[in-house]
Amino acid sequence: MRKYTLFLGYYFRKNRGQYISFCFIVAIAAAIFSMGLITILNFGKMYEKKFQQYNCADVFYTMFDFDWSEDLAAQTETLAGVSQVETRKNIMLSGSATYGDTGNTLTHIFFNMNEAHSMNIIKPIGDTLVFENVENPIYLSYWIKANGCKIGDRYQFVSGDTTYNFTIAGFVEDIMYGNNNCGNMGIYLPRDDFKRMYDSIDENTHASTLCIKLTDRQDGKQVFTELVKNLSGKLSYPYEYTYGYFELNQRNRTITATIVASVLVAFSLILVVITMLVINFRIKSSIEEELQNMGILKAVGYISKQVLLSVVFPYILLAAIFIPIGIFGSYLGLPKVEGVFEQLAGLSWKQGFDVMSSAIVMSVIMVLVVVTTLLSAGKIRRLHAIEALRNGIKHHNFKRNFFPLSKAKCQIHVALAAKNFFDSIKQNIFLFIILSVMTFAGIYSGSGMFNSVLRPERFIEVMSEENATVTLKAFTKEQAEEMLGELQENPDVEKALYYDTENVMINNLSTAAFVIKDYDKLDINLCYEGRIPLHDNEITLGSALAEEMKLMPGDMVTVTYGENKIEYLIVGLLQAPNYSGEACELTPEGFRRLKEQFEPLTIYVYLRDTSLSAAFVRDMIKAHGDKLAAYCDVESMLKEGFGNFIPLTTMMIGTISVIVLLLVTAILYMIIKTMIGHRNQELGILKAVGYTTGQLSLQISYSLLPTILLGTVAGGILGQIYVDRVWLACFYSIGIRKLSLGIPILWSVGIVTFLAVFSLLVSILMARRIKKISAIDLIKEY
Amino acid sequence: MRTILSTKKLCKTFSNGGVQQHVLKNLDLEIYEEDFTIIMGSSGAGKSTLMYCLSGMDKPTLGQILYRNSEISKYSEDELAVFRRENCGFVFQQIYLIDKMSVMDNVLASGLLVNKKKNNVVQTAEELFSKINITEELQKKFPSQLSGGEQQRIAIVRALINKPGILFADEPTGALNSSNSEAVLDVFSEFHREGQSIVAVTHDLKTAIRGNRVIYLKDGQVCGECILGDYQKEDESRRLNLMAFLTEMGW
Repeated sequence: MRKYTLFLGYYFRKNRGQYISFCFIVAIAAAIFSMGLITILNFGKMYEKKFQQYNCADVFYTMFDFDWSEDLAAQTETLAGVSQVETRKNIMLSGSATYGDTGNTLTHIFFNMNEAHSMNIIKPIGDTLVFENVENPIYLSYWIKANGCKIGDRYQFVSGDTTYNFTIAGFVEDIMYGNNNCGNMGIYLPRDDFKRMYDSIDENTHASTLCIKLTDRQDGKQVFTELVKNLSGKLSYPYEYTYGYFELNQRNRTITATIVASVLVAFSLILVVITMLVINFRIKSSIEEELQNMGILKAVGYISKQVLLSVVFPYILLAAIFIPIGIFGSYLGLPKVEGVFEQLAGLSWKQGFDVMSSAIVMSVIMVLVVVTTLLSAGKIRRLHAIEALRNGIKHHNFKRNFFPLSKAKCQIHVALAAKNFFDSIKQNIFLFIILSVMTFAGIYSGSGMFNSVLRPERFIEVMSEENATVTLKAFTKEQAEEMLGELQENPDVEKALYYDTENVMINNLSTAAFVIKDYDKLDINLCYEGRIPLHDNEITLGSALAEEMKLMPGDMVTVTYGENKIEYLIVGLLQAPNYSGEACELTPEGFRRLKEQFEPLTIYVYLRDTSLSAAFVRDMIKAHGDKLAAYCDVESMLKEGFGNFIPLTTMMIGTISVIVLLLVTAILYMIIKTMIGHRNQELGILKAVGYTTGQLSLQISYSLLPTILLGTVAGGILGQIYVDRVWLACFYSIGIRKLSLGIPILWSVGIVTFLAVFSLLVSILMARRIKKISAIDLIKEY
Repeated sequence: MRTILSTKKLCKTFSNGGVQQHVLKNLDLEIYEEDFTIIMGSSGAGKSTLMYCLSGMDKPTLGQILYRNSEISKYSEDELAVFRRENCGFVFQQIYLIDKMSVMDNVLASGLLVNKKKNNVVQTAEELFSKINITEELQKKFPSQLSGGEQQRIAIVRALINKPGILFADEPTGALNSSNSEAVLDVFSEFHREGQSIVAVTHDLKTAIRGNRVIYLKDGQVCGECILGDYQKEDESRRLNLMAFLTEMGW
């Protein structure tokens, strides 16, 4: 071992800067990989732990009391897999809430927090206020706290023309109705306050929640489907009731964190690949530089294995030191990530040390480093002492003489740079690959920035389905027709159309069916293959369903609604991220084959000025309050939901951009240092014959210029073509199969230009290192 | 005799691990135009250090170096580079041709740095190659494809391509066998005859005998000098003269 530490000292003194760059890249890759893995492996588990801790319902269904029947609980108890059923009375109100500097437009479900119940236990997180000292105290979801509210703040809720003022007395982790992805907000009132409100409010807002515990929570979707089947066709209220089951809720609460963590892991894996390329490059260069010394070692009796280990040992040792440092670094950055994910999920997440993710990061990178170093240094095994002592094949140089100076038409420095370019073709190919990858990452970051900060509606379009400014739902066909007619005449309204969502069964699973007449008027075409349905026997099927059932356009699929079963011809496939690809599109005539009495009741309203959405909703309530079964200020809701996503994306993109720039710097440093190392003698000779430092560093920069330009342009072109595929991979799990998140060509040109100029500046600065090589040192060395 | 290069109280001190080593000590010296000056001395006497200070490749610690009355010891690194390219030619013991450049390119890389007219440089290079019997075919080859003697002759062409005021040679035959050495020395002699000023550092008697003036260095100072006169051919009296001088110097 001692001899290897001796070599380590020698190599480290000689290539200090390059080892530092290597350590930096390894540590960064390990840190990001670790952070992504910690999140992927633990965030979902944390949700499960909380789920058990609060004994949450495996399936829940909240409906207005006028649709509720006392038999429902008893019927549900008889379903296979159900072990316990509990009902809770509540009040369900749509409206808008304001608190601090922000607000939400989620439907609020008010519960009695003191009601005796065994499921969905509510337990305050952190401090609480004494109810007696507070006016209208409520407990709210931790999501509100993570978004900047604090105890004692005022919480105002406006529903119709009634305003409710509350004081936040505490925060709870509400698994059922705890963040914007759940679509509803749970509000918990003390017994007396709840009773007062319940007794005084319109009875039509009284609701009940059916909480179901299963023998196996993984059966949640099946039991939920059975429940929907039982209710199918029996509900009098034309409103899509709120529900959830374990898997669905887990996805709703953890989806953003999972996507972000996947992006982190993907990015870290790119870094790991780059690290391996860098190791390969460095070891091969090192063998060339140290060939004579290796020959000496072999000549004095070192065997190939020992010489090989002397080369790979520093990398393995440094990786063994800096991977744990990177992992440790990830824990330093973890509180920030925890904070962001808490904000997104509305659940408190305090992650301790995770042995599993650290072990995976350590072993994966370590194994890759060992394998890469051994493969890269394999040449040493085939090296004969005498060949090494004679510096390889240097003495039999039959290379082509690129750019003979006697025929060159350009300036001497340009010609010498061109010669260098071809003589260092391996380094240039490596630099080309690295710069292409880095520029691709730059385009990816730019695309994220463009789509989340400057044009958030593009992300919204991808992450959701068709989004109107406001949606309105009437009680009857006549009311809907009257409102639609009025809206179409309204000068503030760009367009208004029917867009209903119904629940059907496909493949024995509850599936959302979008029933639309004017598909051609929609802003977003969800169909990514084939076409939308035009006739009553046609259907466009969701990506997840089609993949699960192995169906393609041209196949038939059976759709069930209540007792009716109809076969439809699949004419296309659609993506529906809100339903994870479990959705379908039908024409109104097509849906009437399943539900004869179907009439379109939901109107999608698109305002010319979307910022007026809140005022428009107020006006509609004033004018048509009695006709409105439901309404939603979609514009405000999306802005609120997306409001959380933007800082997160900005932080991620900022981090990725900084890492890209640091990596470009580190890698250019390594390459130029290696190139200078290879050319030490040549540069010394050129200095001796009268070349100045400026002229030689200019030549180095000139020789790198074509690679820098080609690499960044290639990365830019690849980014322009393939950036959507990377996003698609990130969003694939939520059923997205088609998206367009590319950036304008000018942005790509800007990013490519910036990276090219930045790389060139780094190369010029690095090339100034040549100042340190003096002709006399060169001569003394030999 | 016109002085081309002179030193006044030239000192060069190296610091190694905190220990100072005075290699050149208040050295005064004059090198004359069109002379073939040989610098000899025992190992560590400061021969090479003196030559690299004289040629602007290294900077003295103290004292002056004047090249045709310009004090080059005050020059910056870049000014010294320009000085070297315009006034000096170098021939090294290890030859130091650039492996990845062809023979012609090695010469042109130096020539085109000073003279922008490529045709003139190429013509000069071809004339020089022809003088030292380097054929057109050899000019296209890479240094590693040639013998040591051929390589050193090419190094001389590279050193002379810019018609330097002075040609410096550091043990120019040190890495060559005897027949190659003779050929290289003949080239030096021929160029000296044509008026080229040359300063060579050597241990080798066969090289030293080619010079017309031999300076002996001891402990960083000029210990003595011997005027041998212009070299026509290696005769016994010239050799004895030199041997006597060297014996006197304690060589």
